[in-house]
Amino acid sequence: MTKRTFSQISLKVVSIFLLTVLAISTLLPYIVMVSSSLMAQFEIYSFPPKLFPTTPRFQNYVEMWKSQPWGRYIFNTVFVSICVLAGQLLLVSMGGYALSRLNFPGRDTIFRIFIGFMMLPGVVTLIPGFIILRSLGWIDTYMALIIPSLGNIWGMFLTRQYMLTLPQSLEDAARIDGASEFTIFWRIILPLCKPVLATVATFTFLGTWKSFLWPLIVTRSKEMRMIEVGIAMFATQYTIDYPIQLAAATLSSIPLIVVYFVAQKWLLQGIKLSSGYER
Amino acid sequence: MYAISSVVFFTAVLFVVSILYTEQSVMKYKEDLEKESLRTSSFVLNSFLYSFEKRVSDILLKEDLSISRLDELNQKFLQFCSFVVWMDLDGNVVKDLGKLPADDLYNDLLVQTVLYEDYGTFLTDLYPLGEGLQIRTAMILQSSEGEDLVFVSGTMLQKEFFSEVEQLTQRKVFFVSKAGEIFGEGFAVDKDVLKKASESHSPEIHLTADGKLLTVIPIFDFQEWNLKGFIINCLQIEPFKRSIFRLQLIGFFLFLVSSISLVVGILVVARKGARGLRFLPLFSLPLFLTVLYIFIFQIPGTMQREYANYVESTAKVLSDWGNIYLETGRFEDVKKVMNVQVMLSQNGRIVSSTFRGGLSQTLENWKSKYEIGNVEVGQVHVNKVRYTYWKMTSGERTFIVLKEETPLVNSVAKVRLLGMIVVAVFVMFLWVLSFAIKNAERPRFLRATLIGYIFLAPALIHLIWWAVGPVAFSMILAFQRWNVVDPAKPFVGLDNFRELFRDKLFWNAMKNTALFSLQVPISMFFSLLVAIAVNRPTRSMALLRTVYYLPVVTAGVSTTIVWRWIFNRDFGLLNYILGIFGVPKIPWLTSPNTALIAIMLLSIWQSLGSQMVIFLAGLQSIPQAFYEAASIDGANRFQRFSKITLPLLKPTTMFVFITSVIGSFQVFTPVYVLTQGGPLRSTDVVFYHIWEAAWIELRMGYAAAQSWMLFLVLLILTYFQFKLFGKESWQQYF
Repeated sequence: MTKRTFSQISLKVVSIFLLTVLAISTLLPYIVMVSSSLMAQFEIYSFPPKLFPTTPRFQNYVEMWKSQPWGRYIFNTVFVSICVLAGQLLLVSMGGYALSRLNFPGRDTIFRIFIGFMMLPGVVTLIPGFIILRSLGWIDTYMALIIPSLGNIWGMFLTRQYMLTLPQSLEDAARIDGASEFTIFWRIILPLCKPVLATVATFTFLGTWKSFLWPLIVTRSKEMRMIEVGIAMFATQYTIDYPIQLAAATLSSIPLIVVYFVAQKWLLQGIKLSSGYER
Repeated sequence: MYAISSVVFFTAVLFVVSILYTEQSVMKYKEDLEKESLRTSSFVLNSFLYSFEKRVSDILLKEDLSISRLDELNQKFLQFCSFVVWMDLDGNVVKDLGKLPADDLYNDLLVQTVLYEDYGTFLTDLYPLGEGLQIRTAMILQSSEGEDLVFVSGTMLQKEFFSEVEQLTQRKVFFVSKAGEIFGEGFAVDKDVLKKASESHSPEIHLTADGKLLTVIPIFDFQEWNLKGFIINCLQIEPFKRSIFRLQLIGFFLFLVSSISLVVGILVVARKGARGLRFLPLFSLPLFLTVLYIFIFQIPGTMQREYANYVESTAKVLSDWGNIYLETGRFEDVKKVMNVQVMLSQNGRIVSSTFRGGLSQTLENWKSKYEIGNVEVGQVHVNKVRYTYWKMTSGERTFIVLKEETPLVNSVAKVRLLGMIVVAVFVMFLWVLSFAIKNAERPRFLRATLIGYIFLAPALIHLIWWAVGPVAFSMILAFQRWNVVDPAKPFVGLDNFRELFRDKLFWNAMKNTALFSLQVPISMFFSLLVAIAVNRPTRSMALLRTVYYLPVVTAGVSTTIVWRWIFNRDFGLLNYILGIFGVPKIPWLTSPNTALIAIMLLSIWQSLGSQMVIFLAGLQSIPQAFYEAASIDGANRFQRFSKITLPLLKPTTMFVFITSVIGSFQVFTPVYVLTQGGPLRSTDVVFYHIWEAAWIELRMGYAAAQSWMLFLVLLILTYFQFKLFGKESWQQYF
């Protein structure tokens, strides 16, 4: 082993310092969000800005909760997230199974079509999608929030890639035992695909929770609002009352952050799978 | 055998479903048209009222009104009135003649209201009486001796009016009193329909069990206050239903013949084996032609004929009653009663019109069809929307009545679309069928195919429903003027794109988006550095990675709101930190110079983590042996980075670059929450601009054209990015 030179050590110190600064500035908005949500009005309008409140004012949260039907927004968000999650997992796993482990004519063409549509920017389908919903009379219903979001080509692609790595012998053994195609899918392949499905589920849940543009377009009434739309509307209504706005922002962010830390492993795996490097 | 029975079964099902659906949509169209025809008869009613008023006023305004001459005048009135009454202001009858009504004239709303009016103002109203409808008109006058007089006259409407309407519209007309008592032929009217019509103050359509189509018009007094009764138009729907039935019969026959042709075709195939499959399309051709004939020509033809009837009867009404009513200049009334637009031109110049916003200047493509009496009928386009016009000339003045043809156009388009879907389903079916016949000897192969498609079906259906279909629809949309509130969706050719190229605001948005995308290389530079720095398998580095990745998945509206506070000019954290280094306060979000930069900062914060993670994956895939070999050769740290890391990271860099650019071209949420495109449109990015065009201005067609333009720009950009990185970079992904 060579002896460490002075320049190497100093480089390391500087890089660690910079990384820490970056980490703090990454976390800063979250810190500001939580701490300012506990401040009083006069406290937040002070210069130099205070990072922590002198006495936490939980009253802000009570006021925030009373001002809007947050319970309803949260219910909508949770309900839609669960429905989208269930539907997507079904579509994704069945489609992934067909595209990876079954052999039939047209399979590869269809796969290429799917990939082609994955590249399509969402803006192109946004307007016709809205008009289709409108002609179905689904505007401002749960259907509008759930049905169009069920497809997840990226998730299907991921699942397919994962299923391709499973050994063929598993199925062959089951086939000899006389298992039907559906049994093989349900009893053998799906349980093995738990990791990749967990990845898809995590991304879907986070994505649905913070979805904004689509709910903004397809809902009108307060009863159908999802939480991020609720917060955006709330913020335009109470422009000056920052602590209360930030309290609402905290309310919406906490589930996201919790899910992020719990399901981190699956998120990172998803990135690796989809960027073309499989471990 | 299976093939034949499946063909027969499939054809039958398709036939029944499509015919039922079409019948329903044709009936729906018929009902809508009925509402329009009925407006025509209310027009007749209004014209009657007006012509009565006119005859009365002709006498009152031209003759000398001395009390001694009233008897003489009354004789003139009696030529067309059933009664005339002159009263003083207290209701004492001065003179009367004819058959007076039984109810108290003086205390009626009509006379009580006219007492508050100016001299010479007419009020006209309808009264249901035992034998029918009575028009009454009232006016307050001053006799030549200077005494105030209330004049009331009335006439029965029954015979003339009802026979006129019956003749013009070929419908039976009845009057039903408020209580539901029917004058005329006895038939029952559903009380609920009457109630609905009176509550909505507008005509109701009702189809009775014995096949009569009733349109119920509620009649209110002149103040739209008290319900007087209803006029009912009754059309025996039977002939129309019979014509639909005949249509179905012909359709069924054609279907039968062509299905037989198809069955014969399958038999031929069965004889000749898979080689005979070539003939299958030939035998199925009659079937397609039949379907296309029925949906493209016959059913729309029925609708067009119905509409032509309506146009003709309206022309008759206008030729008899048009001038007398239109000359009043009460165009808004005509517009409301008949649901049309009215224009008056004098010496070829448009003098007045009920169109708003100068639309009457955009008349083009006049197509004259025929003339009825003094009325010319034809088609004209107003602002690209097709209208039927009725043109009447009296002297120098020309009245043009215009009716939008949109309901007809839309109904026809709907039926034709259905026809195309039916054909598409049929082609699919035949395709599947011929595939099955071809592989009839390989049941296991067929079974595997079936299972494969069953598993794929949910995802495939969703793709077609929410991706393939919308994309196709969006392409059509870009060539249409498509407003949410306006039912007319005319094709405007390249107009949207032409406007797009001239639209400075759109290109300003494009420019902003391009500027915004400059954050991609900046953020990539930092994320690569960070990725190299944290690429070590220690616990603290793993923690840092977790922190950096946090905004990627949790940032949304909520964090954007926090950033709005951080960017605050006076109390924001950012200006405070910069202030420590002596930077003066910057109005981040309120100055057009810095607002876009602020959003770029927010974006870098949000995307740094995701880029870093992908770079990390790329770094970890570089074999460690390369670095060791380089070290042995004496390469220093920088050389190792530039000669090994960078070249081997090229595919990863390309992936990050392309996906980030695509993402940054579609930025929306921060702009929506922070600046709404402002200040001075400095943050008006393309996606936000499209959203505004579609959901603020409600111009969906134009917005669709914009989104295709954005797509095109992205496509070209992506192409050049691929070129930039070279073939070997993207081969790893395909």
